[in-house]
Parts: sequence; structure tokens; C-alpha cells
Amino acid sequence: MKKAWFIAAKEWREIRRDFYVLGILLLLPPVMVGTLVLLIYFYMTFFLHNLDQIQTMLSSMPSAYIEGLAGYSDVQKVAVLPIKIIGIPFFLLIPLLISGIITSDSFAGERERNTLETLLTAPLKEHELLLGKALTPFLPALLITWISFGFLTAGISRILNPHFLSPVFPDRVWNLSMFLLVPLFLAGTVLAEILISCRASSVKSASALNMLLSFPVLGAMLLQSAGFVLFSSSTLPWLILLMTLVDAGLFWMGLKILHRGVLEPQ
Amino acid sequence: MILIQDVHKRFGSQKALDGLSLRVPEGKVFGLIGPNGAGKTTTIRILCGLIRPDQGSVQINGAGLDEPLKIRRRVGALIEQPGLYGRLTLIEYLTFFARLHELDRSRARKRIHELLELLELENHVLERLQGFSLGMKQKAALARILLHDPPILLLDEPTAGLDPLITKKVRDHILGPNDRTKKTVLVSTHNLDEASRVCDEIAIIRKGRIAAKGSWEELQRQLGGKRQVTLRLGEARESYRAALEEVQGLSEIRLDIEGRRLSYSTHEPAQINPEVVARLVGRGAAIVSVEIGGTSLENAYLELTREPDATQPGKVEIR
Repeated sequence: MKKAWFIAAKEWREIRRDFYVLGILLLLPPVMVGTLVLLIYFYMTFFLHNLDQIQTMLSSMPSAYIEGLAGYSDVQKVAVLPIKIIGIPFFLLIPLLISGIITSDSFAGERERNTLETLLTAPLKEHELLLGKALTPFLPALLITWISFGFLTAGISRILNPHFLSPVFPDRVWNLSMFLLVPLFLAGTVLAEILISCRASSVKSASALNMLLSFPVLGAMLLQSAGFVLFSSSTLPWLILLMTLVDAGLFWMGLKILHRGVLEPQ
Repeated sequence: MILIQDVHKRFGSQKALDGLSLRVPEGKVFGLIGPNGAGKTTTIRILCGLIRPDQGSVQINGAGLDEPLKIRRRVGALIEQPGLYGRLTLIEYLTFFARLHELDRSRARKRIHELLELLELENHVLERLQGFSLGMKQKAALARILLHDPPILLLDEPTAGLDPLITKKVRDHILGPNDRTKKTVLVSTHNLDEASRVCDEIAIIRKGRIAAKGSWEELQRQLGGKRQVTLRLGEARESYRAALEEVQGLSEIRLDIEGRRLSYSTHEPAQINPEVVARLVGRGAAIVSVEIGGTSLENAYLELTREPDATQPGKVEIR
């Protein structure tokens, strides 16, 4: 495990010295959080100035959402809906994008810069190499996501909570998602990106292939918006279990690929 | 000791190694020479456990390819490119690899200091590797492979692209007298001169097979081939050529009357030349000089590694 830390520490040092990568990593989260907060702010402002539109809006919503909001007034329902509909899947894009930026360079970047052979001649076990490569994007992406969540909480609470007697954001689903689902989702994303990086011939192709990983998240956004509630108290435990299994499978596949050798021609 | 037995490796339809076998005894420097694509780098990659052979076995100090960690602990490998992390400083780079090689902090510091001094890099420890010259990069890579003081070194073109001064330093540091008795070295090179200087034994590799093997002197004897001898004369006469036609062991006799030169080819210039000179002097020739062309091994190497001519099959004998 120590060696995995050495690998991650070396790569963090390299990232810190790459102005563009570091810049994008630091710029992306405020842009994403800011976008979400502003969307909700404008949305709230619109309905607060157009109260007659609220009924029309609520009647157009999938019934699954409205049923889950029993006990709220119409204004309160309108206020919490967007954050429940697109909030979590939108937020999952943050760890996905951050890990993608770092991981596409993982094995593919080392191969391009002719450093991979050097690393592979060091006495490393497969799991040490895989863990080292996974920790590199995992920890910064998780940290940035949680910090972003802190800012999101501050922003959204300011917009939403005045309309309620007790704070409604972040709720249990958001907290569970952020502190259980996000780490598991991120681990799976990172492992999948590492497998791609192992097989991709260049950083460019690894980056292109990593884009495919955003499809499930976009799909989740679409499903959530259409009323197929994915992120709710009842579905979340199943999602967490599914992600755990996916992560275990990807880790096993990663070990297999590293055992076969990442230098063998594809 | 390094033992390679009947190793085959294919990349798609291309055969990289075709039944390669060789043995490098402990403490010896073994040279693998051959043209590009002959299989030298593939051999070294297989020995490091970076790629697997399709067939055959490899042993490094008793460890087989199914024990990659043992192999990597015993081997220091320099493969084609120096493989440096450009954004790290020299000290960060070496410390990283020292820790991967399980040297604790104080041992790592001590060893790095020794190597930096040995390779004359101590003034560059805080510089980033991306700013290093090619020679410095190669020296940094050499420091890396020596960090854990491995008993076996695998060096793929260790002096490629280096200027003669740095080449000499690299040669002295790695293959110099201090280390010769301690380390088993497999070095691949294009450079016959380098091979002749540092290697105890040399194998010429061609198309993934050993085409010839032995010490420098053995190879000279084995493959020396013909050497061209050129005599510069005070005056060239047709009768001189006739005189040489009677000598056994000569061929390709050419007389250049205008250039006042007489040349011939022979396997044994040391035996033949005195007789030739005596005969010519007997016929009144004034001999200005006798030149023996090229090194015989170089010619043999070029011949052995040349693509075979379809019109002259079997001209090159492969052992």
C-alpha cells in the first residue's frame, strides 16, 4: 500500500506543476456549482413573480415527484423540485469530469512520454500499481466534489430554506448520495478510466473514450427528469449496492489487465 | 546468471524472436549486437518481464518469468528511452524510484548522494528533468537503475545519441573495472567498437535468432571473412598481377595501373602478405605501403546482418 501512495504522491506533484491541468481542475467545480445555483435562483425568481404559472408547472411534472412532496405548499413544491430532479445527476458530472482530466493521462500518458516501461520495471505488485494510479484522481476528485457540495449547500440553502420552516437542503438523499454514492461512483469511474487508459494508444484516444462514461450520467439525468426517480430514499441503497459490485468487478478486471501486461500490443 | 532458452515472440504477423537462446554467466558483460528490428529490445523487454514470450523460458539468477517481482528486484533495466518524469526534479525522481525499490529514507538519501557524485550530477539535484540535456537524461536514468545496486544490468543502447565524452563516462561508470567483477550485464548496441571494448562475450542477433556468438577474438577468428589488402607501388606492371596469381589463398586480385595500386583479398593477411611482398620485390617492385582494409568483424557483421539477396541464397552461413 505504501508504494501506491508513492505513485499517487509523485503524480500529484506532477499535476501541481502542470499549470493548465491544475487550472482546469480548480476552475471546473465553481463553474458547475455556480451554474446550478444560478439556474435555481432564476427559476425561483421566475415563479415567485409568476405565481399563476405554478399550477401549470406542477401539473406538467411527473406524478412521482409530486407524490413525494405531500405536505408542502405549491410554492414550496416548485422550490424543491429542480434540485430533486436534476441536482444529483448534474452534480455527478463534477467527479466524472475531474477524474477524466487526470486519468486519461494515467497509463496512456506514461506510454506517450516513454515513462511507462521505467515504472513497470520497478518492483510493484499489480494491486499497488492499480491503487496508486486510482488514488491519483480519486482523492482530489472526491475532495473537490465535497468542497463543491459545501458551496452548493451554502448557495442553495440561501435560496430555498427561507421558504421553509426547517432547512430542506441538503436532505437525506443528498447526504447519502454525496457521502456514499459519490465515492463509489467515483471509484467505478476512475477504475473504468484506468482500464481505458491501459488500452488506449494515446492520451487523445483515452480522453475521447472517457467521454463515453458521461453517457450513463446523462442517461440518469434524463430518467430522473422524466419521472423515473433514481435518487430517492428507496432506490439509493440499491444504487449503492450496484455501484459496489461494479467497483469490485472493475478492480478485478484492472488486476487481470495489469497481470497480462499493459505493454503487450493490442 | 541470465539464461534464455528457445524464446519465441511474435507481434501480429511479425516474428520478433525466433527460438533465441543464450546464457550470460555471472559477472560477465554480454553484448547483443544487431540491426534495428533484430530482436534486441524485445529480448531485454522479456527479461524485465515487460512482455511475455509466446514460447520458451527465461531465468535471471534462478528466478523465472512467473516471479516478476524477484526479477525486478535483481535487475536494473535501461530500455531505449531514459523514461524520465520531466516535471520532477532529479532528486524527486530518484527518491521516488528508491522508495519503490524499498530503500528507506536514510538509505535512499545515502545511495542517491553516492550515485549523483559518481555520475557528476550533484549540481543538478534541484533541476527539473525536462530541462536536462540528452547526456544528463541518460545519466539520470543510469542513476535510477543503479539505485538498488542490482546484481544484473540490462542495458538497451545505453550510449545511443551521446557524445563521445559522455559515452566514455557512461561506459566507465557502468562497465568500468570496479563493477566488472560484480555485475552481470546484458548490453544491446549497434556499436561494434563499444561492444569490442566492454563485452566479454558477444552475440550477433539477426531476425530474432543468434547468428554468431563468442568472445571478440573468437568472432574475429570465426567470422573474420576476407580482408582486402592494398599495396601502393612505385610503378604498376601487369607482371606483378601474374606473380600474385601463383600465391595460394588470394582472390580478387586487381591491378590499377594509373593509380599504381594492387589489391587482393585474403582470409589470412598475416601469413600471406610477407610472401606477396617477397614475390613482388623479387620482380623488382617498389612497395610504398601495405594497407589492410576494415576490421574483419565489421565486415562479417555487415554480411551476417544484411538482408539476404534473393539471387544468392545461402551465401551467409547462420550458426
